[in-house]
Amino acid sequence: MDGSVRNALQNSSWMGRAMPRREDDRLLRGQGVFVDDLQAPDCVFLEVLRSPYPAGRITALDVTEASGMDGVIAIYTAADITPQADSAVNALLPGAELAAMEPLARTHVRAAGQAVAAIIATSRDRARDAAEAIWLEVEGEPAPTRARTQAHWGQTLPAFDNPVRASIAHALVAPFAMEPRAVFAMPEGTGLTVWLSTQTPQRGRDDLCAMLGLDRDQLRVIAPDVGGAFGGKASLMPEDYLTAFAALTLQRPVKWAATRSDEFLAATQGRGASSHAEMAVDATGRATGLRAEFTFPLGHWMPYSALAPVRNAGRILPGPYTIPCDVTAAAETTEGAAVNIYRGAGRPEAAMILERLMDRAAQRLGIDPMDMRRRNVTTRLAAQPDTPCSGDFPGLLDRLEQETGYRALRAAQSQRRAQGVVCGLGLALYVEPCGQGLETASLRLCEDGRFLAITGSSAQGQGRETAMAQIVAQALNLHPQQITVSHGDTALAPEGIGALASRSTAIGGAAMWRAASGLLDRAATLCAPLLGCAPADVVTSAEGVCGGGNSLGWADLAAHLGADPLVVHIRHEAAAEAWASGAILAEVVIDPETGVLTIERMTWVDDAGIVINPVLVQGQLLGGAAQGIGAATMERMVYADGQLQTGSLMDYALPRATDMPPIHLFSQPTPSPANPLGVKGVGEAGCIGIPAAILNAVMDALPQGTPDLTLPLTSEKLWRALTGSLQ
Amino acid sequence: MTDIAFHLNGTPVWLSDVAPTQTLLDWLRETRGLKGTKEGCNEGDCGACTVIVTDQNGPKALNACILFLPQLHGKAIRTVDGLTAPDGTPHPVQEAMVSHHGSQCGFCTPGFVMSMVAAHTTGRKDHDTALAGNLCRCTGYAPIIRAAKAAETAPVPDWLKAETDPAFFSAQISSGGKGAIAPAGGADSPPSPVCRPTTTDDLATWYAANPNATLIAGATDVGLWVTKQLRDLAPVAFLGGIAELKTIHDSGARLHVGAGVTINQLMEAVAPSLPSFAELLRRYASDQIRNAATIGGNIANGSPIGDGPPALIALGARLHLRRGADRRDMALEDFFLDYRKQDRLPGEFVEAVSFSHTAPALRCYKLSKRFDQDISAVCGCFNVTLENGSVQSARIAFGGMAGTPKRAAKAEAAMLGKPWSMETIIAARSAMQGDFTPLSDMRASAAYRTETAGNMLIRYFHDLSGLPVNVLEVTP
Repeated sequence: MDGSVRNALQNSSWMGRAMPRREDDRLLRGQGVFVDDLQAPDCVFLEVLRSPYPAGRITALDVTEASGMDGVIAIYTAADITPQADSAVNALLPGAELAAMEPLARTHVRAAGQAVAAIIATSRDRARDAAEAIWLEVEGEPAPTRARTQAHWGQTLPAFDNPVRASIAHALVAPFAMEPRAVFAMPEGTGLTVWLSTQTPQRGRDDLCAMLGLDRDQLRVIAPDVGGAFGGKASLMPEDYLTAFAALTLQRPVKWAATRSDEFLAATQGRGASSHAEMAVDATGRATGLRAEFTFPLGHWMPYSALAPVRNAGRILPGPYTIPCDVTAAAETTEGAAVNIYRGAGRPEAAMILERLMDRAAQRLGIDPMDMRRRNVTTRLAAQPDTPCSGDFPGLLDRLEQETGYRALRAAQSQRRAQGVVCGLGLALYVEPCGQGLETASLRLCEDGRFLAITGSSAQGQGRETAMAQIVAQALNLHPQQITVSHGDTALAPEGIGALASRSTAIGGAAMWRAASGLLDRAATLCAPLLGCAPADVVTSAEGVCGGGNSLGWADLAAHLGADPLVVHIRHEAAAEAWASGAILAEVVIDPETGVLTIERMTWVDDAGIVINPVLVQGQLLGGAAQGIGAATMERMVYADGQLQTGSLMDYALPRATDMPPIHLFSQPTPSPANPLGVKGVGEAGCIGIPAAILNAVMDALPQGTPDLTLPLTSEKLWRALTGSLQ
Repeated sequence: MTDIAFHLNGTPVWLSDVAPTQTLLDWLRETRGLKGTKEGCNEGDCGACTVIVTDQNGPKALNACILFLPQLHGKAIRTVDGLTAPDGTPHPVQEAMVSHHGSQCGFCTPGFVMSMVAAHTTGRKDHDTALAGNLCRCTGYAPIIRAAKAAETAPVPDWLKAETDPAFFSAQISSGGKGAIAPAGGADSPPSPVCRPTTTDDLATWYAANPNATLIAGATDVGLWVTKQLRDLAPVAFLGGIAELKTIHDSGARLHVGAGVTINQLMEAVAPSLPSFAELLRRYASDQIRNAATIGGNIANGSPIGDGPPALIALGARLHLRRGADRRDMALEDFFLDYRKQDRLPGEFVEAVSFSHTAPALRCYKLSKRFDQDISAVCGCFNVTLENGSVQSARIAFGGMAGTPKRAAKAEAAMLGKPWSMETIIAARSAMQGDFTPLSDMRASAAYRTETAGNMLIRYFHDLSGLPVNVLEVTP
């Protein structure tokens, strides 16, 4: 941090303010522009014929009748499309086998719901009618395993003497953005402009370019308003390629918008892992060794980030504790929709197994779970890669104990149990590593004296524009209203990563801060001679620059600079990873007659580092908590004989307003040393810590010796656990 | 094809040759170019497409994705695109959503706003219930509920007041500003694929002549035939214009409820005398669905897991059917013959259902994966009367336990004449094993259904004894 930035920091305090979101006005008026809201006069519509059959060999695929139907422009099968490259898969694990996308099934259907043909017609209805007229026969055959992967973390530990054990089976769940996926591709010169409901516009462009055989400058990807993503819009999908291919081939605008049925059948899913772990503990309550094995299903193909959950689960153990680790994780393709990153992406799986083991150990040793954790939390911060950058874990536990009146709650629990109430308290301590690598930012003084901030991070509801404006306003001592924030357009931000892994504020925000600092330094150098002062004496404000008793307005400065404007581009490579953390207590009761679970209260102390805007942070925490509650208690994708049984909202239970318990939030930040702002991520915390706390609370409520439960914790399972009839 | 008239965001709209199954959502977005209303699921489950439809009975939140245009004839529609004042001033609900951070990605937001405005206009304060039909994946809901509370005290904006005034309808809406549009079809009209009768006589005549027709009242089920199964429906009859079907007549002893009465209207009617039935109906579906769905549709559909029939059977309801000039009635339980098979003749329709609403011992229990608005795994309804401490009559009916809504005849028999005691209940629970052989599916296993159905009987005993039995009452 140089002197002038420090000066600005003292003069303004935009960071940390609960500013209302600048995005809200248009969204509240229904004027948000999502991909399916776009239209063009000669636009045609793409629909996908999905295999109604599970895995098997295609014995007949006849599009003759459909091709002749009214309004049908083209029908593609695998033979008609010409991908120039395999879809990219991030080979995050050494020696990983990869299974690329098959945009349309070739000789074999690998799972029900896989795209078999793409129909382009003048209206959606006509395309759907034509899809119904395509003749498809599939002869059932077992799906072959396309790819297997295994990786190891930590050291090989000897056999443990009488360890505590736990197993968890996570359900497959749907990321379920409220806006279904959508693509709108428009021919432009020799290439395309593609509006894509995506978290990763730049990667989308690169992956599409590779598959279409276009150069980077021939393809522009724009992510307009994106209606939620949660990992479900992180990687290029078959329909993205098919729509772009059709637009390029037909030389007309083509739009595809997923129905909710498409999303259930063929969008990416999350979780689904199973884990088995054991932990050695000594008589004093110190954990002396952790051995964990994860198995991840991948579905029938691997989107770009398919291996990220595997890697995250492996690398973040032992989380907030100091325990020697021996971790293996395996993954393989399975029959079903692709499984990819979903909010948390491996972190929830690691946190849950670890927190179960902590409770099991506490129970065996007769130690309170709070104390068990206190005896094992780490103080070795940033000791090596994949360990927390900062955090006060004893402090989180102390605060949680104090805010909940934990000891009194335990006493009350004993009394309630004596009255026959089935109730439990569940703790979880978690960490949330917030991404590695680069992000870009650019900041420009425009002719009208306003500033344009362009971030490589994208936005799907996080309030990115609001937060980035606060960062720039803080650094330059401006008012946030003077700053326009732009994102999600590869023409404006050709390089960047997007919104993933809770990284956008820690890495994207740091990039923007550096851009603002750089702009401030340049402004000081340029303006010192104009103002007649030393560069160190140049001070910026909402009005402009001043120093040596003189001042110059921003618009005047822009006019003075003319063709050589004040602009800074930053390509920021994060030197270290920011790690957020937190502690949660869940209080639950279970109805003994029906097994109905009620979460009475959740108390949550979080360390998200320095907070840019507390309103946005709370939004991320509560929203993540809702998804965590969903995954823990009700959400589950079910397949039977290769067929999806949960293909609509009547069968897939998503939390509603009445399902939300009271959640009390307390912020206890420690600044992150990993970036100049001291910030950490917060997007995934709810999905990481909340389910672990709920599971621990439920197990605390159930009789001792209850076997491990699979997720979600439905009434039936809890009732079985209570009646000793678990299968 | 048919002609209709309505008001959209304060402007009269006349449409000719409307395809009967064109949905309001598609029309708004694709034909009218109003993109503020969103498609989130196209099956009435997520609320992203919520609009406000006002008629003589006031404003209601409805799902545009499963509303067919002919259902809107003579009504006023308000979408998010027309919610602010002409000068752009936001509605107080919109302002509250901003100040409470009630929006994140913004895709569900228009639907939430419209549900909130409907509640605000009518002065509702039960926000969890009013918003239970709107899904949000970003906010965790608490900020939205806070916004709804904060907006409670703000007055209804002037620019929306006209639509809440009943005079507005008689003056402006019912005719759509034009001469009244005669219903298509009817006895003297040539056969038409679209019938919009205004009397049950017209409907009876037309339906007898067109027994393959689809009858559409609320379209909360038929809507999905179109949006999800892509079925062609023809011919169709829209029942929304038949005032007789929407009446509730209280004879003192019995309530006579027209088939076109919505679930919300029924809920309101039974709330004072049958609170447990009303609570079941509240959990039946979202506000949007309850505003559209009718009790006649719920019964005629014959779903084994519909929540209306078990309660009505426990109340001893009689079903009133009509075919042409012929009328008959039967005990409701006799209507359900087998899975999705009802005792309904071609061209015959449900005209009304009647039941006693003096049943202080009626209790309805619903078990589902999610507390609200989920398909029942088991729905059990109990109605026992006692004399001198013994069971004088017992009507027990279940949904989710068989291919149809069904009485627990053996359990009832095991109780009759016996003292009202735990022993009797236990015996009845054992007898109930012979009443049902439920299915295992992903909602619940057969064993769970059997066990919890039996436990509902025990719960009923405790409930009548005044013990707390609601899971929500267990909390301190």
